[in-house]
Amino acid sequence: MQGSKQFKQALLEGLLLGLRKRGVAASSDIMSFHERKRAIKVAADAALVNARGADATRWSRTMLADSELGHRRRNWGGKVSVKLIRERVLRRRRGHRQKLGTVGSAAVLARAMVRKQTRVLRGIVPGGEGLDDECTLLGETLDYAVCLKAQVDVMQLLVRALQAKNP
Amino acid sequence: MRHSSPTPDLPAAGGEIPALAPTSAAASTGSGGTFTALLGLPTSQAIELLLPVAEPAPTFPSDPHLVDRAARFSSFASPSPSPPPPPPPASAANKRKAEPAFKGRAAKKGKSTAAGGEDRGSGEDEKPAYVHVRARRGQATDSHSLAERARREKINARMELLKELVPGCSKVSGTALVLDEIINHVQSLQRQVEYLSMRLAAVNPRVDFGGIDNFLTTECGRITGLNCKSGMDLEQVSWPDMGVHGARNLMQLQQQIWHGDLAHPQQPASQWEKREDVHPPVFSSTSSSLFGYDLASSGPQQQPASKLKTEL
Repeated sequence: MQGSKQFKQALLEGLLLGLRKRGVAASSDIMSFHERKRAIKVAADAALVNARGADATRWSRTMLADSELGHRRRNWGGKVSVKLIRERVLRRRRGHRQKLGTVGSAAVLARAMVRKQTRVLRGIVPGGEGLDDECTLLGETLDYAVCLKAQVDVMQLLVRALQAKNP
Repeated sequence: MRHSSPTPDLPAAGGEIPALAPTSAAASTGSGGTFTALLGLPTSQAIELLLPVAEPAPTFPSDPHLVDRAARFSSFASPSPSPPPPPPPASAANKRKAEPAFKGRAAKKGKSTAAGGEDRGSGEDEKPAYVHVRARRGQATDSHSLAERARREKINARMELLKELVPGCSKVSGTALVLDEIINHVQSLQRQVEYLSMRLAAVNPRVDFGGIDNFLTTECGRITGLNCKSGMDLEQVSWPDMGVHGARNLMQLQQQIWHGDLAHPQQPASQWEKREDVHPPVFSSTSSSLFGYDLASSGPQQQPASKLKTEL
């Protein structure tokens, strides 16, 4: 359903409504370029979440929470615990030992590469940090990639329409 | 004068011989002699002679004072009561059985298994420890093995779907490389969203959405469906590719706008911002348009703000 025509129409409608709601198209507001860009990005994300369903997937819930926060960085207050620092130091030492030691077998290296790529993927997909299971992470990535492709298509359509309307 | 000893009579002597016969036979059997004497005896007597005679049980004095004194002054009496004898140590085979097949699982379960092995002692013969034997090909029927296999199959299926989704990834083999391609694809899509939001921000912000509605309906009509192998109904629009020229234009646009914004934070409205003939569209729920915008009401006349808020 994510890449279907109905989904794209719902996404486009939500995007236009979001642009009007956030005052991007209002004549009274004089917004700077960066403010306008941020408002368009937030409107596009909100339209994507609404078209997909707010509670359908983990990434949509995370994006909804981020848009409600206004894309502010969450400040994790408080001191960093001694345990965390110790773990980081030990991890570094372990990494140095592995680098200095002999090269492992191909299977070990491949497994390490997969682990590293999975960690990167968790950082890319919204809400992926809380996913420990690789199977669920791949499912979320699949859903997110399809929805993101539809969002890109809709935004390209809108840009093309605006350029044709106002050359 | 000769003293002649009185010779016994024959009958007397003959009468004594059969009386002494059993004792002599018993002596001969006791000394390990022949069984010829037993053969001449009747069956009941032979059985009695062959069976060991049970000795009578020793009788102890019934007086408790005597018993206490004997126990106190006995040479075998120890000053402290002796502890019970320790259980016999388990053999090497039993010890090997008690050790789990996988150390990781035993560590997860805790120390209870080791303590239980010591307490059981010889009871391990009755309940032998579970030794995991690896099944042959196609014979893994353990529930954990089945769950792991189902999980692996699900991961492989999703990897195949992601391979088909990412362009040019079907040739790539290897999980790490496929994941790398997926990461690149998702990151490129996220960058495209950023770029398109920048382009939308660079375009005239007050657009006549009522007029754009018809254009969008015609554009949406030109969208062609694409049947994917993965079963997902993906639709693609023939867009101009954002290649090197697009990136170059984007950089030029960024430089122009960012320098302008930084140099003049409070810019006066530009020429197209001062126009009065363009008005924001009014959303109407009762419209025949595709996206719900009333084309007739997007002119100079405006609806009240309260009605607009309720409709939004």
